[in-house]
Amino acid sequence: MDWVRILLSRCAALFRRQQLDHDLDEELRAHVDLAVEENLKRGMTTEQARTAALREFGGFTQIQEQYRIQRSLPFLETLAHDIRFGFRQLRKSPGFTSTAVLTLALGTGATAAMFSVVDAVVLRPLPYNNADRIVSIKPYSASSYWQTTSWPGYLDMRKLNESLHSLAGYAPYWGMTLKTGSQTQYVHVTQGTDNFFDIFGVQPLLGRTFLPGEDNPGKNNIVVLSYEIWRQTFNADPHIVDKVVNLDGSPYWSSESCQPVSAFH
Amino acid sequence: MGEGKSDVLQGTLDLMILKTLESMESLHGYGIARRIEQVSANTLSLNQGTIYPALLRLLQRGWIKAEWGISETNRRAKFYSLSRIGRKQIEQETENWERIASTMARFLATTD
Repeated sequence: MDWVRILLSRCAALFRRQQLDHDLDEELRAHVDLAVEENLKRGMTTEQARTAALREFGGFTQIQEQYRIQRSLPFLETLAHDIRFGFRQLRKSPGFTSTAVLTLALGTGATAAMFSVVDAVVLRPLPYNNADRIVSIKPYSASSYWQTTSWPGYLDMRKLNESLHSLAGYAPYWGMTLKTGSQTQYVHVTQGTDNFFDIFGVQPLLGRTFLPGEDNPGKNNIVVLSYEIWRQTFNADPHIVDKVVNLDGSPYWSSESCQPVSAFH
Repeated sequence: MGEGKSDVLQGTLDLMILKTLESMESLHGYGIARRIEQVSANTLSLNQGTIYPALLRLLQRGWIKAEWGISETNRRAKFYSLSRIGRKQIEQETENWERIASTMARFLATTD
């Protein structure tokens, strides 16, 4: 238990340095004065009394130094001194300081930006089941140019597929206008086939994803909200499922009275 | 230092201070130093100043407490006294020291 008390006392001393220095000075002066008084009573001259008192005391500054080191955490005190000295030096040469600060700021900023990209793209695992078993199939034309697949082409591939567990198609990065109340907002949309979510093995937080056949015309009026849209635009409404969402102001979307809506992360 | 005087062993000064405060109740640094010199009949070579780091060590452990007061000659001085923990600690420190002293005595007796 002793070391706890010692540590606490030393930490407390860090913040009362001047007061404690003053106290120590006064205490040591009192010691010498008391010794001088006693020596005078013994019949010494003022000069002799003082010399004798100081001799008996020993090294005055050594004692002060030893006391200060033991009183607090000299390592931290030195560190604080160095930091204060550093700031004074920086204030003296503002040109150098601003160059150094700017360099550091830009360097830190660039590194942080780079890291967040690398973290998101490379380091953080994708939140899918068996992410290492999901592949993207890229069809090429006869003249070996990459090209997208037509809807009938996709249906053929899906029918003939024997190598993959399932095969989904999607058309990425559509933009659509989402109308909620008096507000409109441009949102990114990806159109997927009915088995799109099966590939990734993700479950919605609320409601459901697509049922088989819900990618056919007339049945494809179902939208799955992203977690961010659900939170930001719909205030994380827990009753969002089965509500009508107006996309692109199209009667196709809005005329349906009962569009199941799900949110997934 | 002076001939025929012994250096103060590490750790013994703390116990001397504790015992001094036990018999004197409350005393300033100079008084403690003079008392130790008197009790030891001037056989110790002790720089009076060295009691201050020792006093600080005891303060930090919470064995003694300090407060400012007025000396018998009307001088403002810091007075030290035992704390509750310190009073208990004396017993243990005394036992410790007696064990060391008796061990030492046994060694000295065998070489004779």
